[in-house]
Parts: sequence; C-alpha cells; structure tokens
Amino acid sequence: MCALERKVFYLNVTAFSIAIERVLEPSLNGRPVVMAPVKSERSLLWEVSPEAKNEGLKKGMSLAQAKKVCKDIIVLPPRPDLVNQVNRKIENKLLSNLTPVYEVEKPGHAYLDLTGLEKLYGEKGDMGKKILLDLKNDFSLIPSVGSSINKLVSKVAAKSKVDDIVLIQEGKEKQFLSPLPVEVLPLVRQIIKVKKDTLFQDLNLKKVRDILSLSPYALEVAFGKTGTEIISMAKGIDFSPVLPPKKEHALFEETYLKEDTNDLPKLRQVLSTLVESGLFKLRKKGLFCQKIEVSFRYIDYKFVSKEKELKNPSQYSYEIAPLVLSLFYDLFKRRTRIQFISVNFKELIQNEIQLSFLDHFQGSKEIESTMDSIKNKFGQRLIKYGNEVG
Amino acid sequence: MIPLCVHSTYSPLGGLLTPREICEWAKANALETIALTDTNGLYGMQFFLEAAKEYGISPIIGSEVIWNKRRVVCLCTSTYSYSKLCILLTKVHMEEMSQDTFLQYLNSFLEEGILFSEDKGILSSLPNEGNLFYEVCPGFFTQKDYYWAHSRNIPLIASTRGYYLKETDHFYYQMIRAIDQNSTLSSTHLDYYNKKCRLYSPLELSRMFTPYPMALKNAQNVAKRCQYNWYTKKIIFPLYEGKSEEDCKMILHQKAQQGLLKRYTHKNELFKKSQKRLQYELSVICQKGFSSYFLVVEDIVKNSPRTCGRGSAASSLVSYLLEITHVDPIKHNLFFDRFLNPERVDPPDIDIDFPWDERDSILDYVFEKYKNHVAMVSNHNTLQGRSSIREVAKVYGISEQEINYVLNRFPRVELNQTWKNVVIHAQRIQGFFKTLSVHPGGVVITPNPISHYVPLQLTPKGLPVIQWEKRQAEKAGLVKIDLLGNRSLAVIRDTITAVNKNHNKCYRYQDLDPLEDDKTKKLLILGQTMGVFYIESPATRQLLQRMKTSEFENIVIASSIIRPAANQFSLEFVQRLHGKPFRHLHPLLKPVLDETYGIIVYQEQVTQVAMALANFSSTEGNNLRKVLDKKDEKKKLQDYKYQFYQGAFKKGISQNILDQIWDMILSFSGYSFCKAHSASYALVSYKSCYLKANYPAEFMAAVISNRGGYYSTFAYLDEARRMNIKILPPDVNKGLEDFVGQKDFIRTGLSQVKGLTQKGLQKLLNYRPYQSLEELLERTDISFEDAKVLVKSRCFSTLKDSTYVDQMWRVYAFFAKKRGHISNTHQALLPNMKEYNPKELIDYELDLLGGGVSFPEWALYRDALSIKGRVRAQDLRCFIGKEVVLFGLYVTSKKVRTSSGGPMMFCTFSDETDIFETVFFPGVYLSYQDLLQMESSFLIKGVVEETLGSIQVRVLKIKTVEPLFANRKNQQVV
Repeated sequence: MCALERKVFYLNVTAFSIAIERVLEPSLNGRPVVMAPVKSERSLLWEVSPEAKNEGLKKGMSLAQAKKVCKDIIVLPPRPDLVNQVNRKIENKLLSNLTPVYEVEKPGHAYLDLTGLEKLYGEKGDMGKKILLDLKNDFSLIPSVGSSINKLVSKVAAKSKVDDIVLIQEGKEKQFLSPLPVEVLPLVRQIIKVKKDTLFQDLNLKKVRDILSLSPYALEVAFGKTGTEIISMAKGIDFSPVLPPKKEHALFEETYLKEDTNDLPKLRQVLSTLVESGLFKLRKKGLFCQKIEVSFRYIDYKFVSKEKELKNPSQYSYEIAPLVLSLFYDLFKRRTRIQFISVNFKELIQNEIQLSFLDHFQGSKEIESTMDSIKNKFGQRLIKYGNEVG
Repeated sequence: MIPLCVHSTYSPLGGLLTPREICEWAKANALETIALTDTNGLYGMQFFLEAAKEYGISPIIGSEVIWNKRRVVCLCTSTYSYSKLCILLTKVHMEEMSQDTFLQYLNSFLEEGILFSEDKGILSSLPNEGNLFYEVCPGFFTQKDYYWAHSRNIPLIASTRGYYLKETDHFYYQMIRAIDQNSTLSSTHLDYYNKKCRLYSPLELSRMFTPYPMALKNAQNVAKRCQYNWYTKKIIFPLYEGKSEEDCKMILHQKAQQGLLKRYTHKNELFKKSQKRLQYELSVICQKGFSSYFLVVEDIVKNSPRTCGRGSAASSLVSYLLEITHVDPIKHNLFFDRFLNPERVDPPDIDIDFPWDERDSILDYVFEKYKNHVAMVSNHNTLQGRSSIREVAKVYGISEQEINYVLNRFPRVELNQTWKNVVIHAQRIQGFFKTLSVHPGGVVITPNPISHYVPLQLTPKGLPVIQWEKRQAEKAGLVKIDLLGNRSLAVIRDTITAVNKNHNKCYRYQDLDPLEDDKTKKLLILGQTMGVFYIESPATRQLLQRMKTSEFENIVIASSIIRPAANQFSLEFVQRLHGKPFRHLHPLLKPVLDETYGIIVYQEQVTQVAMALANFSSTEGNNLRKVLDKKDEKKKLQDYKYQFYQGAFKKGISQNILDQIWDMILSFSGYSFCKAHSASYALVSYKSCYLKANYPAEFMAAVISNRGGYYSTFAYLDEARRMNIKILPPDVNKGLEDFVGQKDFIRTGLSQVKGLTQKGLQKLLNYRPYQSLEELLERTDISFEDAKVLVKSRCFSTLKDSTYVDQMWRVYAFFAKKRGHISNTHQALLPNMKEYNPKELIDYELDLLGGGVSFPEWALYRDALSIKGRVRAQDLRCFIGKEVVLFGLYVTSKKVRTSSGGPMMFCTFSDETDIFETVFFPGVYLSYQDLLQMESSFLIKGVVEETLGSIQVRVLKIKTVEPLFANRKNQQVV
C-alpha cells in the first residue's frame, strides 16, 4: 500500500490589511495604497500595496519619504481590530470548514493540509481552485495559492506568483526551487535578516542552485553544522507538519491612547482601566490567570514587553494591579510618548481557590465581587476604582 | 530681610533668574545686599559681582552644597572662608569622601564662614560658635524643628530658597529639572524645593516670618557679617620655577638677548630697530610684572620643535626672541600695543598651536610640572536655540525622529500646538547653564594651589577644570595660556619626514623658507590651495585667484579679510590692490590704513581708527575691539558708538563719513583677526603651500592622514588625482596605517578600511611580509570579521592569485577548520564560484573605504558625463556670460543669508577635470534645498560669471543623476 501523497496548500493574500480595505472601498483597487498611522509624516509604512511596491515603496519607509517617491499614494490608517476580525472569520468560516488541519501563519496567510481529502474536493488543482473561489466568493479577497507535498515548497510556490494557483508535482521540488533566489528558503532568510550574516553575499551564493551545487566539503566550510539543514531545504525537503490551532488561553486588553502621552498619572489611569476591564471578564467567566504581560508601543514604534508569573493564580485587582504597575515601571525607561498599551492575562485556568482562614484580603475580594454585580447589571462604566479615573 | 539663599541660572538647570536679574530685583526692592548661592558651585560668581556693581548692590558670595543627599548653605565672610569654600566644592566634585571627611571640610569652612542647614545630623556634628544656624524655610520648617534647634541652642535664620520670582514660573522650574534628570514633567524629583521657594519682597517676608522674629534678625546680622570687598584688580600670575619676579626679570632679559643674537644674525637695519624695540617691550613687561608669565610659556613651548604662536602675542619681539612666536614683528611692522601697552589693565593672553597629536603630551608635561597649581579653563554649555528646543521636546515625549525632522527644517516648518508650546517654553529657558565642558586649550597656572581661587571639577579625561569659562577667568585676574592642537603643523611634520626619507633630504620645520619659491607662488596665484593651512576654503581660494599675488603681506591681508560680514570690503580691496584709485575716508586714517589700501582689515586697526578719529585712549579702543567679538554686549556697543561719533564730531568729521567707517568697524562683529595672528598663520600657510607645490604626493597623503581639513578625504583624493598622483588601494603588504605618499602615488591607509579593528590592523603591521593569504591568517591570528573585510576591500591585491570570491572561500575554509567544522583545508575542493560582479565590487569599495579609491567617483556617472553639450569645469573660462550645463560631484557648501535675510548657498562641485564654484541665490536655493541636502551628484544648469578673474556659476536648475548600476526601485528620494 503506497503512502498517501501529502497535499499541503499555502494561502497567501498579499498586503492583507490593504486588500480588506479594497473590499470595503473598491475605488482603491489598482492604485498605490499604503498603510501608516496618519497622525504625522514621521510615521513608518506598515503595509504597501503591490502598485506602491512597484513605485519603489516598501514597509518601514517613512511616510514623508514615501510621499516624495510617489506623490499619488493613498494613505490609510491601520485598523488592526478589523484585520483580526476578518482573519478570525476566514479561519472560522473557510479554513476550519475545509480541513481541521490548518495553521494560520499570520493574518491572510495560512497552511492547509488536505491530504486524503480528494474524494471531497477532487485532485490538487480542484482543491486549489476551491480555496481560491471560496475566499473570493465569501470574502471578495483574491489570494495566490501554492501547493506541494510540504509547507516549505507550498509557501514558496504561492509567493512566487507565477500564477493564481501554483502546483508543484511531487518530485519536482528541487527543479522548482533551483532558479529562485536563496532568500526563498526560511533558514537563509533568518541568517540574512535576523542574524544579519553576510555569508551568502560573501560566498556569492545567489540562487538556490548555487547551494545545490556545493560539495559536502564546501557545505561544511560555508555553513558548518547547519549545512545539512540548508541543503535539505534547497532540495525542497520539509517534513514539518501543519499544526492545528491551539486554543489560546489568554485574554488581551489593549487600547490605542486617544492622545499619545508620557504623563505618568494618565498612563497609570489607562493601565488601571485595562486591568479592571480584563479582570471583570475573567471573573465573569470564572477564570484565573497565572501570568501577566504588559506591553506598550512608543510613538517611534519601539515595542516593549515584559511578563511575570503570579505566585498564585488570581483574578483580583489587589493582587494583579500592583504587579501590572511594577512591570510597567520596569519597562517605561524612556521619555518618548506612548501610543498603545496592552495588558495580557495569560495561562488562564478554571481554578477553585482554597480560601485562607487568615486571608487579609477577603474584604477586597468582596468589594470586587460587589462591583462585578453592579457592572453586570448596569454596565462596566458605571462604577470604577479611583485610579481608573485619574 | 535679605534673601540669603538665592539660585541663579548658574545652579545647573536649577534656577530661573540670571545674576543680573537677581541684582535688578534687589535694586527694585530697595535691598542693599543680596546673596548668590548656586548649587555646588560658583559658576556665575564673576557675572554676579559685575551686575551687583552696576546696580549698586553689595554682593554676598556663597553656595548651596549638596553632597550625598546632605544639604548645607555656606556664605563667605572673607577671602579665607572663600578659599575654604572653593576647596570644599572641589572635593565634592572630585573625590570620593567619607562623611567624616565632609564634616572636616565643613568644620574648616566654619572657622570664618557662615553655615546654615536643616540637616540635623550635620548641625549636631559641627561646632556651634556663632557661625552655625538652623534654616527656617517656609514649607520645610515645623514646630518640631523649632524645638530641636532650641534644645541645642542653634540659632534660627530666615531663608526662602529663591529659585524664581513668580509662582507661575513653577512650571519652568519643573521643566528644567526634568531636563536635568532626563525625566518627564510628571516624574521629576523636586528635592529641597516646594512651590513657596521664590524671591519675596521685604514686606512679604516680614509677614511670613512673624512667628520667628529672631530668624529675621539673625538673617540681617549675617548679611552684615558677609559684607566684603570682592573686587580685586590683581592679576594672578604663575610662578616660574619658584623664582621671584625680580629674578624672573633678569632671566627674561638674558634669554631675550640670547634670542636677539640668534634671530638676527646680520647686524643690519632690522637688528638696530630691534634693540630699541626690545628695550621698550621689556620695560612694559617688567613694569607690569609679566616676566614670569613669559618664562612659563617659553618653558612649555620648548617641548615641541613645531609650534605656531598665534594671536596678538606674535606682535611681541620678546615672544619672537623666546621662540614662542615665529614671525619677525620688526620686519612685518606688527603693533606691540595690540598685545600689551602700559595703559591696559587686562592680562596678556598667549595662544600656542602644537601638532594636534602632540598636544596631549604637552598638557601632560604642564600638569606634571605644576601639579595642583594648574587646571583647564571650562566652557559653559547652555541651552541655546536648537538644543533648547530639543531638550524641551524630549520632556514632552516627542520621538527622536520627529525632533530631528522639525529641527532640520526649523523655522520653515509648520508646527502643531504641541510644537508651538515646545518653542515657547524653549525660548523661556534659553541661555540657561547646563554643564561644564573643557575649553579647547586654555590652562590657568596659579602661584598657590588653584582650588584656593576657584572650585574645580574633573574632565572626562581626568584633568581638573575650573568652574569659570574664559571671560570670568579673566575678570577674576586669572591668566590663561591657550595650548591648542593644529592639524596642519602635524601635516607639515609628517610631510617633511616623508620627504626626507623618500628624497634623501634633511629638511627641518624651522628652516623652511618658502617665500621665494616659484612653484609656491604659482599655486597661490592660481588659488590651488586645497589642503593648504588656513587658505583652502572656497572663499579664500577665490580671493587668491582675484588677488593674483603671492606677496607675503598680501597673503596676510587675504587671510584676515575673509569674514562673513566683510564680503563687500574684500572685493573693494582687490580692486584697489590692482590699482583702482582711492582716497582715505578721512586724512587722519592715512597712517593707519595705508598698508591695507584704506580698508580696515585687522583688529588693531579698529583700535587705531578709534584713537585717531575719536580720541579714544588705547584701552578704550581695545575695549571697543573686544566688545565687537561678543554677541551679548549690544548695549556696550551702542555706548561705544555714541562715544565714537561724539569724539569724531568734535574733530569736524561728517555723519556720512562716520557711517561708512562705522560700517567697516561693524564688519568685525563675530570674529576677526589681528595682523600678528594672520601673519603667524600666513607663515604656516606658506610652508604648507611650499610642500604641496614641491612634494604633492607626500603632502596630500599627510593632509588626509591628519584629517580635519576643510574638505572630505575623497575631495582631497580627487585633488591629488588632478595633480597626476595615482591613488592605490590599501594593501596588507605595502600599506601602512595611514595614507602614504611617495613621488607620484598615494597608497590608501589600512585605517581607511571600515570594520577593520585596531587590534587586527596592528597585527597585520607587526607580522609582515606575507606570501599568501593562508600565511597571513595563520601568523596574524586576525578575526574572521577582519579577514572578510580585508578581502572585500581588496587589500590582498598583491597576493592576488585567485578571484576575490575564491579568496573569501579560502577565508571561510580557514575559519571553518579553526572552529572544527572541517579537519583540513583543501583549496582544490572549494567550489569554483563566479567572481563578484562589477556592481558588487564597486559597492564593497564604496561601503568599506568610504568612497572610490581605485576609481574616481565621477567615473560612476558615465551617462551624465557623456551628455551632449556638457561643459567641463576646466573650460568654464571660455563660457563667461553664457548658459552652460555641467556635471558636478558635491564637494562642500556654505549656507549664508542675504542682506535681506533670504537663505542662499555657495556650493563647490567637481568633475573629471577640475573643481568649480557655484552660487544658489535665494529663489533657486529654496527650490532645491532638499536635493542639496543629499550632497550627491547633479547636472547643473547655470550662467558662468567672472569677478576680478575668479569664475563662478550662477545656478538656474539642478537635477540628480544616477550612478552606474543604480536600482530605480531603491533610489534615493528626489
């Protein structure tokens, strides 16, 4: 009995956030569009449409520079909530209906393992068409789809954009990858962009075929121990499974500040509000958190984050609020204003707490419980702690 | 009540009132005296004394001392307590102290000084003998404190810690504290302060202290006890080897006579004149008690064979004979009174240039010899202009990118409300003292330990620095000696060393006598003086081209007349030099201005003009000259203008004539030079030019290696190419650390290779020569990164037995073996990769060497160079008055303002043939200022203009051009 041929697909919606905006506003189609916070020209580009890319714009470029390079660009403010919302819908309505084995890499980009599902969807070509059409019909989004026997080659195929659907037959992976730039291989990208290593440039290894042509000796000289891994990648070998989604046991409370600020009392107020809002939700669901993470972004887009484990799982303000504040003070070392704050309640569990006979904070718990009752009846905004209002 | 604890802007980012404002307030409130007690220093003491005198206030000197979170206020009653305070403040800044030691110094101060505090620990550890008080300050003092002081018989003293005047200034106080602490407004720590800490009127104070009348009375009494005459006219000279002034006079005479015989070998007319002049100078010097000063300077100078005594000291024959300066003042008619005269009360100021890399050893010698009697003079860093805006913006939390964006365009940028607030707040705190830094070369040497005269702090290099900058040092009678670094002296030194080696010569710096050399004269006349000390700027080169003369006296004028406000005069001067008839504005000016064709060129001529026309004394004339240098003395300048006009009117000189003369005088605002200074520098220029004319390769290599010239390294390399000198890349076997010139080539220095570590470079030099790459790697043990950088910058060219890619593979193989990835290196098993493509090789060179070395950068612009009808720079003279298109590689630029305030720019470009000058008038400049900021390469359309022989292109349009291999998608912003 021959093993089933793996059928892995990669779904790639280029410039996903802009693609969503184009669905909502079709007049944006075909025009150079970028996504950047519009408050100031000192912002950096978060996303660029293919038309903008052709004009020489790229992610990370300053908005001021982008406007000079391409005077006709349309600038849209980022809407991360909308992107997450659409992404969740795609996941729930499309991906999970196609197969239980799918892995969202990032919004608008996902792997699907459709191995053994030919009877449902037909051959590979039909599967690819179905994915494409479903996304087009249900969401008006047009992806590029790549397929092969593994994740690596499927993704490269989708991003190559040779066609809307690029199918690589089993056994043709090496042939497909050979003429492509070495940067298509993930490990190579990691070496170049993350480690900032110039090794490929130094050794004049420009195409995948250059790597394939190296002898084992040369591979060791160039890559040392990672040579084996790189040559496998260059041959299109990848056994990594498509990982089904894990349930995220976390609750995120985050906000973009109405006005960027470095004023400590104001920032403390925002943190308090986030903490109280999150804890209210946790208590409502009967959940306790074991870890807290505080993150924020400065107006120059530097993002900082720190987390700490609680001694005991908790859902109470008197235990969690001081920790949140302490994490914030640890992080807040610059004077630059903050634009976005997030408090993440992680590793959530249902926990029955053994009440301590000597619990000095029983009173605090009762207060919080009473406040929760009022909030449930009349709304969260009706009653707040003093430090939530500044 | 007299405020006894008052902070000025000289409490570093701690007070909001200048010393002048404090005195003005005191006067307005009918106070006869007031104290200044800045934090941990006497940073503004001399300005306070000056302002107090002006307002008729008696000044009380003191300081708030904060050490290890312990705070006391010290007030001086005498010079003894003053010196103890200086010592205490020095220790606070310079030493780790224990609490006991701190108390000992306080104890010592208390012998005559007054001390008050609310620190109970300190108060209970000090003797209570009538000089110790408990500070009663609103917002800090409580009933408990009263009982505590009472139980120990420590008398109370009223104090309000005045940081500012109005309550609304609290915000600005918070702002400057936030700047000092690098914090936000909401997180600033405001220690020893509350909102009541301001200056109060006497009526407000008497109401405030009603419960404690004794505290008020004690304050009055203490104020009386602190009355002292701080105004001394004494100049404090260094001691020369412990000798008395009488002994020093004798030694000075002897040395001067010896110098006379050495400098004037022929007993000619000059020698006779010098005798008489020497007698006069020695009499002035000795009468003023300056002998030891000259001897100290001579002792320092003799440590280096190459120096340049600059400034007005060069007009002294004594300086010349002691070899402090090297320009013959008799021969060049230099005016001694500009340096010293019997009437002047301020001390002499001798400045000496040393080769820049020898200066530290000179300072080491001085500090070793004079130990705790010597310190550097400080500079006061203040919040000014853009720095003030930047600091306030940071407090507001604005990002660095946004701050840079706004400041690069300020004031021509639209501001939102936040930025408008930033600018308003920044204006309020302009000029506030922030920190000390070190004056470039000023040292002060005193007969007693210097910490008795002024508190000291430490520089980052560990040298002591006084808390006063040069003006205050001068007001205090401290005599400064400037020991400065000069790159061109090092250039001349290195060139001579190379020439002696390469051409078998025995030149010495002092023997170079270039004034009659034809090649030197030719370079000067053509203005081909890039690299030549002091006369290489575009403006000076153009002036030389217009002057068409190489006479020493005219070069001296040229280097002095190039000043921002003197453009109109420099053109007029050139015309008169070439024979344009002129009349002196007034006959009285003839003896003063004849040598400079009726134009005021030198600083001392300002003095002489004021003396001749308006009966100024020599001192008054000199003060007028000084006031022109200082931006903050507008009022004094107006007073002098009035005096000048009144004096001249009395001689019947007309308003019109006076206006013209005064305009010329005003052109000396900002900076200007005396003849002696220009002459000293012109001599160095001449020697420098001689070396360039005769040994161009050695000279240009030395210019580049010593850095710091007017132009970039690559502009100098292009100049060398124009002189038919070949530029060779760095090489592991042949190159040295620095650029080396020999006959007709310059070898690029290995230090030019970006990314090559100093350690790696030294190893390379230590183990040469190398027969192969592997041998080099084995013997030197340089790092992997160093080895890669050497391959990419083609330093292995002479070992080139394979392609550069192959060399790189061999480096990787060597280090793979070293790391244990492979057991042996087998060159034959390495792959046969294609060589890097031309673009990659060019990119590596541009990136690692900072520019084109193996090729001139203009060669990358083939398309632009081959445009039909393009004119070459060397042919511009044939197109005067015509519109042309040129290719230009940016060299340097200078932004200026027209008389109506519009911005314009002078820009220097070069092409494959020559360097050329352009001017962007305001309209054109505004259209292209963003492009010009890129400092890139352009096609330039403009009109060729000629002024008195020098050529300039008046630009109409520019367009960027792309180099070879430019990637359109990744091109720079246009």
